[in-house]
Amino acid sequence: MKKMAMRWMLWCIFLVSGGVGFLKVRPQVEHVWAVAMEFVNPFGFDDYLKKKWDSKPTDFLISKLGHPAIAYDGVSTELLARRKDLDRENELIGIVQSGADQKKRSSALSVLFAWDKDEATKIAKEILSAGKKHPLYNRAISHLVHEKDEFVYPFILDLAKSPDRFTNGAVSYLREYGSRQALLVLEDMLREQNLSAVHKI
Amino acid sequence: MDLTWFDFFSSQNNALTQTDAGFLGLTANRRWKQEVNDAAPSLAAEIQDKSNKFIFVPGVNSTVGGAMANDISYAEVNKIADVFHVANTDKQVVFCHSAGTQVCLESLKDAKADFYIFASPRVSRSTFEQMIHDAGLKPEQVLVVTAADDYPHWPTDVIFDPEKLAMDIAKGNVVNAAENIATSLTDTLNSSFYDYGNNTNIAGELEYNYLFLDSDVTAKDNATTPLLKHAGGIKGLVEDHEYDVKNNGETEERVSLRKLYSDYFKGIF
Repeated sequence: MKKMAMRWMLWCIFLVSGGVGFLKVRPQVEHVWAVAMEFVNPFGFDDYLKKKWDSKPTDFLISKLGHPAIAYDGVSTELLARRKDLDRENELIGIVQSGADQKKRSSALSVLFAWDKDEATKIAKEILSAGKKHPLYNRAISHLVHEKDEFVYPFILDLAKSPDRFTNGAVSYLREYGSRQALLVLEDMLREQNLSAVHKI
Repeated sequence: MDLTWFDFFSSQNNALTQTDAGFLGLTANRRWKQEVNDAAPSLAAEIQDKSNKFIFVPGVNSTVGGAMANDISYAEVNKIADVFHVANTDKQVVFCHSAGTQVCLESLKDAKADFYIFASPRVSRSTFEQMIHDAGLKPEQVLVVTAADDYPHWPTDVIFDPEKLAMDIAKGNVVNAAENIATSLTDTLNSSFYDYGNNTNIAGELEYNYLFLDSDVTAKDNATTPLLKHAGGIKGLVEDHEYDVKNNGETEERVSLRKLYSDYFKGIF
């Protein structure tokens, strides 16, 4: 009897530790699975996922935001953005403001911009005010530039004055922001780049 | 990539040959080899005709002008050609993708264009380097593009220390041996995704230009699925997406794929 109980206990330990272990590595396993699926189905793994996940609950899609498999992260972001399940807005805000990994927060912010532009803009401005060390700093600039929000202009200008101004996205931000003021700065930068190219010759 | 790993299943004279994997592998390999062998001489002939300013060579799973999801339309090919301003130059551009990269490499024996884009090459990096070297292509004439969610490649530099492994096993140091194997496997897996990033020779000189599409910022801005898969280097151009990239190892943020291709092309003048 004692032996039997011992055996059951060992089985339980094995199953529980195996289960916990699987849950821990599940995203990585899913990542490998996604690459394999894409390899055998190059004609649209994303489309297949979109169809399969379209009827899934919002919580499931939120859980896939920031997934190591880019297809999972991208498809969940796109489906959530279309769905506009405002009952879950606070959950999304929580993710953006949480200590979760940058990829998950970034995807949540993208969805938030699709759901509630005012709230997302407010959060993006707070991120910019928090300074360059904020992990979503560049993402916030990108969204606000996309929305052509005037608040963002000094932050672009700051990037345009930085030593790495030709590779930090400033050129693209200025172009997309598109005001006369921004285009003049862009013109100066491009002239400078051409001059330095001439100097190299 | 030539699916040579399937050959193992196909060549075994046992029950494995009868499996679906063996059958599929055999079919896929035949199709791949046949298409490459057929296409390379035709491509060489097209390149020899210098009135062809832009040549697009697709992979085995897509055709130009077809009606399938993976196919590319003539309008899209023209859109890609426009990036290189081919109408206003006497330079010839060849844009190859996937299996098409092997076709391009095979054709180099008979004809050479001015500028090549190899989007997601499907040959090992050592073979690739040897073939562009033999053809006398300069680094500025070759741009390799891969994306973060692309298929893995065959890694050329496998980090593996067989001597250390043998020593560990001889000493009965099983833990070290297991660690060695695990590290080698992990390194091989990582290397298989990023292998083409090793684009300098021992002297530190560029062998070819290498562009890695790291993150699709346009998709992030619009909350859509990123164009970072096997065809990311084409779709991102056709749909004019901007990316965070590694440009010969240097990080560049939010830069348009059109601009990057165009800049590299201008570099050959």
